[in-house]
Amino acid sequence: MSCENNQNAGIKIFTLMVSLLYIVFGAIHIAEGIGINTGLSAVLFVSADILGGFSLLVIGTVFFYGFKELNAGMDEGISFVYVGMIMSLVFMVVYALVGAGTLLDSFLLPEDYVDWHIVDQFRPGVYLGIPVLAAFLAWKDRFTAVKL
Amino acid sequence: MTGKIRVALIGNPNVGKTSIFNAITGLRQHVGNWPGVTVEKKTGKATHKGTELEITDLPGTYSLAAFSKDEIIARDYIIDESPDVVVQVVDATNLERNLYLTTQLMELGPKLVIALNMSDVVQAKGDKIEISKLEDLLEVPVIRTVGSQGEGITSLLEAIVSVANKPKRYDLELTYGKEIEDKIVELQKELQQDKELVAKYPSRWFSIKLLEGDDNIQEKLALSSVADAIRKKLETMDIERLESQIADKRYRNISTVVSQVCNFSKRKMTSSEMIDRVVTHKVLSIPVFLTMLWAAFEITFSFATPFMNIIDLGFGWLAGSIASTIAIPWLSSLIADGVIAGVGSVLIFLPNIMLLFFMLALLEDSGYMARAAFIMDKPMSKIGLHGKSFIPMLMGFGCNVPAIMATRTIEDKRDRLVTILIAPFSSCGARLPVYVLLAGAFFGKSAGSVIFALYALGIIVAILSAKLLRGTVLSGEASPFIMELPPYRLPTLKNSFMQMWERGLIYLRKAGGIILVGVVTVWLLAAIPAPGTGGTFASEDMYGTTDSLIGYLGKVLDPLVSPLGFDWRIAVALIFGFVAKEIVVGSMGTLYGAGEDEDRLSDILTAGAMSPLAALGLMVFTLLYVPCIACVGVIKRETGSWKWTVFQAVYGTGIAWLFALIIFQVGSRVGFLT
Repeated sequence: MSCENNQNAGIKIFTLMVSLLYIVFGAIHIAEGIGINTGLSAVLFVSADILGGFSLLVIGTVFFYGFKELNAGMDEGISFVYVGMIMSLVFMVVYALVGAGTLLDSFLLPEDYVDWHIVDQFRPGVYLGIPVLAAFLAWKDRFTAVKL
Repeated sequence: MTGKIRVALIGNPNVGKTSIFNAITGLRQHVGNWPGVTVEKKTGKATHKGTELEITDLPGTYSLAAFSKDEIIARDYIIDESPDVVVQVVDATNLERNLYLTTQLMELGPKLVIALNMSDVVQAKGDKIEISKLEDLLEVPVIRTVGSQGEGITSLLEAIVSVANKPKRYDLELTYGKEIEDKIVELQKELQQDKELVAKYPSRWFSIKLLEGDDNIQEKLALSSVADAIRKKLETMDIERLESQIADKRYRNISTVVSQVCNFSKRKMTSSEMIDRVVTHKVLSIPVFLTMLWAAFEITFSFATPFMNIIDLGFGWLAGSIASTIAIPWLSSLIADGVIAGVGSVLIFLPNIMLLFFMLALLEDSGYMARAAFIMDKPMSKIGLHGKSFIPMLMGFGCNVPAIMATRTIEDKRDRLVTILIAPFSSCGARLPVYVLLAGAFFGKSAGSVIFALYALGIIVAILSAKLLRGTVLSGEASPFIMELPPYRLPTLKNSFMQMWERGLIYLRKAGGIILVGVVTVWLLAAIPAPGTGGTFASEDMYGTTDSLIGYLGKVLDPLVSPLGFDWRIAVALIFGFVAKEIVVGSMGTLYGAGEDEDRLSDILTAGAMSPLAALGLMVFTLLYVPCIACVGVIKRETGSWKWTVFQAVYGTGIAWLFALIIFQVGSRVGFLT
């Protein structure tokens, strides 16, 4: 029982943290997209991308709903964590594929990619997905045992 | 029984009939994880131990009380064609509702076999169905199947052959209590006087349908000699009450069966239920939907770029090689500037098209499409339609032709007509090349977002048009929305690739057929001198200019498009776009002298041939104006009316012209994108 309680507390803290991270990074994407220089684009590889930012905001909000319900003792809140994780992983794959495509294109047309570097593709959608993937693998059994 | 066995596959929507059909016949009919994938019957052949079988996959139906066109197709087939064996595919995870159709089939009396499909899902949930007990209670062979994996197909074929060889049809009867039974007997007595009618329809089943107030059966009765006598009897009865009593009695019988054969494990929330809590959430559902759609478009646009460049480089090399080896100038121009440039400028977008179809296949197979319809029900109800009308609009992102055919699942005639008229506003894959070219050229890194906005605009225009039609010429009460949400399934790569390949192949065939003819026609018109100009056929200084025949035609159209910021070349390209939307880009390549080189065409356009505002207007015009000729043909077939077909074409083109005009004129005045 104590082990399960510890796991629940871990999920709750993790959910809150990723929720805030996705919301913050989503907001930075949008801010850069509408022309506000946050000074973070070079450091955190956050590009000017309004719709990409909106997507991260949505993922963060889904996680936040999960945190709210879990914190209120509602076991079903795990649904939001589950879906938030799926969305994070989908976006990680999407951005990784886009990065791979750009890399391939840079070999085909190197003259178009003089100022480009592969690290530019390591966007928040990719690196935020890594801890989510680890958590998903660690807690995957937790997503099938919710009693109604 | 000797010779061929004719088998009909029937069942509720989305129970896996087509998966079973494909597993039996080895065909590859489209399978989707949402109700209404099959709207027409499909036939295939199979052989089992020397016996030939002809299998017909019927559209999904919840009952034999036919409400929509696809349900009537299914019921009429069973009655009129009298297949040797009817296989009802039953969703094992939803036995109670599926058995409702079984009770009606039992009354109709064909030789019946039940395929208890999706049995793996039941097992995974820890539930159990006692198949042998179910067989005993229904007196019908019940075979456990998992259609998507081909499990149980051999046993199913064994059962079909065995049942076909039995002499007797199914004769187990449900009883409905004294009051209803008396009425059934009373109607049966009258019906027996029409020998032709009772030879075709079982009199008991026909009587029950009359007591249920079935309109389609009333129509069949109208031709009978006993029609008046029956109608008089029915007038004395409270049909509404009897209908509900019959349904109630059927469900009571079904409950008795289910309680005896099903063992449900302790209830747990399934993955599908967990996902549905979020994706149908009152606040999050639409943002999540938009996010998933945007991810699909990001892949379609960004990931495709290197593959487009590979095709571009390949065609560039081919055109250059041919141009340098053919000595006759006009022939060299025809092949390099006409055939290779035209077809190449269409094929370059094949990666986008394939990826778009792949993403749509993933969304369909996962079960998310049905949720999209569900979450859009509320906004749709505000315009007088329901969520079911949203599915054809989503399907239209692939191709408008199957999207319009998918409206057959809509019961209400007005709802269906409105949905047919607005479906072409969903941006099909064929329009994508225009967006990719112009958004890439004028909007750089924001191209993906611009394309996403165009798809969203298509949906908004469709919704507003529906509101307009519902409030004016097609006004009436909105019908209620009933749609089953299928369980989520992990899409199989095989199925998604198969769908992508099959739909991509259609695009390739078009490129080698109608598009090739279109681009060669454009080349010819660009190479023939206009009357009175005295130019030489296919000469470089005249080709594609106002001195050519195409330029002459373009100048006639110029006054219509110049207020939109387009020149005569765009007018010509849009005219050819009526044949197939893919030709628009090919024609632009020819007319602007860029051939198949997309980069060169982009450079010509951005260097002053077109303003960003006009480019935006052109994308919007392409999105909204008259759909391609194949789509117009389907609108005519499905509406059965030239009036509505012409209305759609004129209305769409009018709206497109108005939007492009507003974008260019208002944008120019306020300094937007200039």
